[in-house]
Amino acid sequence: MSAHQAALTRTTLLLNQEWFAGRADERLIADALVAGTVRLAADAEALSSRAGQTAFVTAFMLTARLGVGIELAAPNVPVIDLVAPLRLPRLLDALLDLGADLTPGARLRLTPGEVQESFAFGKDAVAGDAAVAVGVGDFETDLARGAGGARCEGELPFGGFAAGAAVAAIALRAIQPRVEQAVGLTARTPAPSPGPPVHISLLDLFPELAGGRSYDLGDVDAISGGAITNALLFCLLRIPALTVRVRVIEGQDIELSNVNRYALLRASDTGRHKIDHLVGSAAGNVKIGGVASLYTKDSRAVLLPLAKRVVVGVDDVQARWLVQEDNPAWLAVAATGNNLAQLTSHVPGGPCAGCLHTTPLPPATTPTISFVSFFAGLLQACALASRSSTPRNVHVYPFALGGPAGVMSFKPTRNPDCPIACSSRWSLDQQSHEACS
Amino acid sequence: MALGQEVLEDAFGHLRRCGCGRVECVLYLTGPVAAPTLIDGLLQPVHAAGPGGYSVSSAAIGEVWRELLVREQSVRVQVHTHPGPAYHSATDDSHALVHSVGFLSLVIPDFAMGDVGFDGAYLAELDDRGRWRPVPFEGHLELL
Repeated sequence: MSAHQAALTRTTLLLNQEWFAGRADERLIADALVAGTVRLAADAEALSSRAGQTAFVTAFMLTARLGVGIELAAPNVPVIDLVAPLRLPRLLDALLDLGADLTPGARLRLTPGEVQESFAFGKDAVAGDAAVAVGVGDFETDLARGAGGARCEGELPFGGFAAGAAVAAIALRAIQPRVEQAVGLTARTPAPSPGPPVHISLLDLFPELAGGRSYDLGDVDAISGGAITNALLFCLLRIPALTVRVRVIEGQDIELSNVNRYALLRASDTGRHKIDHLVGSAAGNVKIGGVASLYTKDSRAVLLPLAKRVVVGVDDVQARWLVQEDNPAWLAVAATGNNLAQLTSHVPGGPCAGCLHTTPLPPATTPTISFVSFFAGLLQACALASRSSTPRNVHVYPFALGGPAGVMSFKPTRNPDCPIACSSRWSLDQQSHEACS
Repeated sequence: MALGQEVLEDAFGHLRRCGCGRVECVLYLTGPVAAPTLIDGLLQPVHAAGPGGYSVSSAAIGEVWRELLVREQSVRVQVHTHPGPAYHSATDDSHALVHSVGFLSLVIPDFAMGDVGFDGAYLAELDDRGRWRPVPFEGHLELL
C-alpha cells in the first residue's frame, strides 16, 4: 500500500460503502482522488475579511485532506488568524506549506491547468464562468453555480467554516466520475446532492449565536482528542474575542490515517501523542491542557470532577454514557456516522446522552471523511459559543447539502429505554432536591 | 398532519402484502421536508417480523435515512400492525424511530386486513418526557 493510500484508508472505506456498497478496490479510489484537481480562486477583498479567509482556508484544508489536488488562484495576502495548522504569515505560503504536509503525493499548484471543479471566493475571483460562487457572511453561506461571484464579508468565522466544508463536499462530488472510472463501477443512484446550490444558516440552528460578540467559555473538558475535537479547536482558535481553557482527555497516538480528517494535524505529526499535539496548538486565549488517558470506568475517578461544560467526541457510545452519568451541567456530544454529522446537547433534567445515543457500535475501523467530521466539530463549537442551555439534536448530512434535508434540527425527548436510566435518576434527584428544600 | 386517501390505501396494501395476515409489519409515512404537515409517500424498511412483533436493524434504518435524503423527505409517522386490537405495547414504546417531541406512531389492528381507514386504529404521540400518549386523530392525523 502506498503512502497516499494509507493516509486515505478511512476516506476510501467510507466512499466504498457510500458509493459502491463495498465492492470497489479502495486503493484505486485513493489513486483517483489524488489524480483529481479543483481550483480555489479568491480576490483580495474576500480574503481581507475573516469570514472570507476562513472559508478559503477551511475549504483548502478539508479538500486537501480528501487527497484531491488543489490549484490556488489568489493573492498572497497576510494570514488573519495565524494559528494551527497554519505556520507562515502569508496565505499562499501557509497553504502550500500545509498542503505539502497532508496527504502524501497530493497535487498543489499555482499555475492554471485542467480541473474538475472551480470555486470563486469574491466577485473578482478568476475561476471561470461555470465556477461555484461561494458567498460568506458571519453566520451563513450560499453557494451557487455561475452566479458571477459572490461577496465574502464578515468579521466572524462561523459562516466561513460552513462554507469551507460545503466546498469540500462539492469538490468530492466533482471527482466522483474519475473514481467510478478508476474502479470500473458506477456509484449508487439515485444519490443525494451536495449542491450547489447550498444555503446554510448557523443562526437558524443556534439563534443564540447572535447574542454576543465576545465569548468567555470558562473551563471546558473535551473527552477525546480525535477528529471532532480537532475540528472544534480549529474553530475555537479562529473565533475572535473567545476565551476558554480546554482540558483534553485522550490517551492515543497519532496515526497517518488520522490525517484524512484531523483539522489541526499534519502528516509529519504521525507518531506523536495526540494530547501533545493538541496542547501545542494552543494560541492566544484558547488555552489547551491535557490528560493522557481515555475516559473509562477505571480512569474517571482521577479525572473527576468534570468542568461545568463538557464536550464529547468519542466513537465509543458507552464512553458517552459514562460522561453523562457524571452529570455535567452542560454536555454536548458530537458524533459522525458515515454521511451524518450529529450534535446533541444536554442539561440536567432534560433528555440525556443515553436517551439519544442508545446503541453501542461494534468494534470496527470507522469510515470517516474530512468534511463530515468537521461539521460535527463545528456544531459543537456553535453550541459552546452560543452558551445555550436548550437541548438540541442537530443532523447535518454534508453529502446532501444541496437539498432541504441536508440540515435538520429536532426537539429531543426522553427515551424510556435510556441505557443509563436517566428518567429514574432524574426523579430521584428531584425528590432529593425537594426533600432538601 | 394530513395525508391523502391514496397514500393510506398504498400503506394498507404494503402492510397486507408483507404481513399476509399472519405477521406484523412496519412502514413509515413520509412528507416533504419543506411541507412539515403534509404526508405524500411512504417508506418500508427491511425488517424481520413475526405474529407478535417486528424489528428493524441499524443497517436498515441507515438505508431509510439515505432514501429520505435522496427523496428530500422526512418521516412523519411510524406505522405498524397488530394481530388483534391496536394499542401501544411496552415493546412499541421502545420502537421510536425518532426521539423527537411530536413524533407520531400509528397502530393498525388485525394485520391491516380490515377496511382501509382509521377504524380501530390507535394513534400515539411522543411527548416532551419521552412518553407515548394517545391522541385523537382529529387535529393530529387527518385524511385529506
